Amino acid sequence: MIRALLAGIFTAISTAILGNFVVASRQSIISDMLSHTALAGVGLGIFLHLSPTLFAFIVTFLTSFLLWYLTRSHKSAPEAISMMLLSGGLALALLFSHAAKDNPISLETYLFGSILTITQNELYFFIIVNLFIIGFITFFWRQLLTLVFDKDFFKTKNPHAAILEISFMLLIASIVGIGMKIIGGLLIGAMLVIPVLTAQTFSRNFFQNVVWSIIINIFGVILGIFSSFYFDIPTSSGIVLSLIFFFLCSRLWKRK
Amino acid sequence: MSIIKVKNVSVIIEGNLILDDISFSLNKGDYVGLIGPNGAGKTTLIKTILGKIKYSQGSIHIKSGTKIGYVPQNYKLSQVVPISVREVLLMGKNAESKYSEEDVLKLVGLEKEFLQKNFHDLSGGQAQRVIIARSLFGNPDVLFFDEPLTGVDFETKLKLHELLSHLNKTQGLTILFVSHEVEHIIHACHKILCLHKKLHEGCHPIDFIKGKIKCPVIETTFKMCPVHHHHKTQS
Repeated sequence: MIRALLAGIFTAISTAILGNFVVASRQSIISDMLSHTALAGVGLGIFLHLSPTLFAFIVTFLTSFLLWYLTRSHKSAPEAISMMLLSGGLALALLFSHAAKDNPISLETYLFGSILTITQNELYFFIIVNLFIIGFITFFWRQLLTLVFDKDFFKTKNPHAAILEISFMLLIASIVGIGMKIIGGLLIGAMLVIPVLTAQTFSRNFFQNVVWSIIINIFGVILGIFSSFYFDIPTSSGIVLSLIFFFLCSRLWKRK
Repeated sequence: MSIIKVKNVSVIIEGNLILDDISFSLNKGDYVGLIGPNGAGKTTLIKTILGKIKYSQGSIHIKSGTKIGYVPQNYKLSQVVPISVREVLLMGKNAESKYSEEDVLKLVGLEKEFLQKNFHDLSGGQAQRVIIARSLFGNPDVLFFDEPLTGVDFETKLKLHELLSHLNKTQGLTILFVSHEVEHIIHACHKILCLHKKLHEGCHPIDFIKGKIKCPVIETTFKMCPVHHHHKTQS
């Protein structure tokens, strides 16, 4: 359980930070899209009897590039393209897992996560990825802030804006890659988005919103893991429902 | 001394001729108004100078080392997450910024208490000042304004022009102000450019009024003005 807590807390911190940028850029659906295409990678991994996590990373990275390329000309709506890739990813995941019936690893583990079965090596890997994400965002804070709040202004100031745009998508792809094991591909969006919404009740600026999101996310993960341990409910359900519970509390508190 | 020189520039987008043989230059310390009816290609011209749109003919020469700031037509920031005025200003900061956050706010006439406020809670006029301050933070030599007054009340418009004239005089800031309404620029600018099929240049709106140079925007505006009508019959 210590491993689960550590992996959960680190992921809570990076998803909370990244989530604020994702919500501000109105790209929440992209995280959902990437997590569904990641499942195609998982399916492929299961089919080939190779690491599903590794293939999830590869497929989400490739999809990030594809999405950037397809939406670069502004002629197609990003959310429509995302929706197409999302269903395509899920269709492939289903196809691969159907073809790989002989593999004992099931797709379900990656749909809804299984944080309590995390191995020591996975834990180290997750911590490194999380630290990288946190470091990257801290270093490029100002640039990312400009990109997500005012893309046009960012582009007039930076001729090489596309590099940061792609990097930002790769960050989302990375968090989706590790989030699959922690909370599941279908639920990782919850850790990115819900704390950001809850935090808005208490914050007057972006930095405050990030700090509050981190606190809320950590509490959600701890409450989720403990409730799963003591009441025998799925951990992912515990985490997501805790986060929604905090959100409802914050709205009630605001109305007071 | 001209810092931006546009010479015989034509822009074709998807087979349509948007800008046809445009030439003008911007000198240091100029405050130039660019007017023209909607769809005349004013924004296209600005974006072409900024290098965001490719031109098919002519040349654009920008004096090396010139930093151009840009206040876009639509400056609405993403509203879904709170952001403070200080954080909005931070977006404009770069290595050459010679001002502090307090300094740039002061330049646009806002108190430093505004730094802590949520940008989304500001009034239209205040938000606009913050956006201008953000552009000034990058220490530009030239500032392009692309119709920044849409949806702002008359008093705010007047105050913004006072502010720009002040920055122009005290900081030596070169300004190109784009609008489709002539009253925005009439009292402040040194020179007026009218983009209507071709680019017409005049020193004063009166040149346009007297019919020396054709500009539909100025003509329509002054047709509605009885004083001008009187003036015209006299002369």
